Amino acid sequence: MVSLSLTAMVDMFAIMVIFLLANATTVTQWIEIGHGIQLPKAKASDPPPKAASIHVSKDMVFANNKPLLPVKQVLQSGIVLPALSTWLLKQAKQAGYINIVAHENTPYGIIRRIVFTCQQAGFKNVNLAVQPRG
Amino acid sequence: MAGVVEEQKNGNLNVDLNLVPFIDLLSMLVLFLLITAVWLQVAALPASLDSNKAGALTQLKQSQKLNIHLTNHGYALSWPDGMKTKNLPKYLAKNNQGYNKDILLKLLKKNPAPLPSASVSAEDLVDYGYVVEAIDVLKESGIPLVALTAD
Repeated sequence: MVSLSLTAMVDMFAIMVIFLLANATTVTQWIEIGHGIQLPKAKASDPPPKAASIHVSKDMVFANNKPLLPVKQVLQSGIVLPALSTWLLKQAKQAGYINIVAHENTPYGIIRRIVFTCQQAGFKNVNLAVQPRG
Repeated sequence: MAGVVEEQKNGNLNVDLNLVPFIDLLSMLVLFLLITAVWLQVAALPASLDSNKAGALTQLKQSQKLNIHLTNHGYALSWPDGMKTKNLPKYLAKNNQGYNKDILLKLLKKNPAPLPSASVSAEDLVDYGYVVEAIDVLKESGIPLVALTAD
């Protein structure tokens, strides 16, 4: 008959609980990445400030997680995106910041149009969402 | 009651703690925290928005800052006026692994003082990930203000 040492198991569980509790309190995640977006990696470590966000997946551009424009339409349009411009003008300009959460393989032409439209709407700064690397 | 209390002959109390319910509690707590834990960390790389048009509200003229333009074949570098550019390349071609960000970082770090600002632009078909990589390299080299040029 094998006797199980429960004390060691309790120690292990206690350490796991402490680790998970500490991890849970330091992460404030309000940007939902979803939509199959794989963020590019960078050495940045500051969390993004809370502001309006534009998500760019492989197929669609989302404004605060609501579908706005298909990516194919963005590529065919001019440098200013009217639908995005209309949405941006309704957003509060918190220090002029806008968060861009885009897939790493997005052609820069799409980002360029989005960034130009943001600039025309009065947003002077963008925060590019990235995955921290090392 | 979680334990069994036994009184010994000499009057001392001997408490046997029942660990099984304690382990049940801890395992439920661990499961809950694992489910609700957020493993994907998100950080932000700040960039200001710049314009090539004359009269744009930029802190420095285009000729006073480093301009990096990403093409499908590499980095096209435009160094600021007044900088000794004799040994500085104007073009860094891609290698087998992609853009030469390590060489770019070395070139920027060779400078005695970090440049005040830089701007990044790219061709339409270049992947956004490479543009972020270029901005990251500029930030790592100590350049405080990095702008994205959209026109």
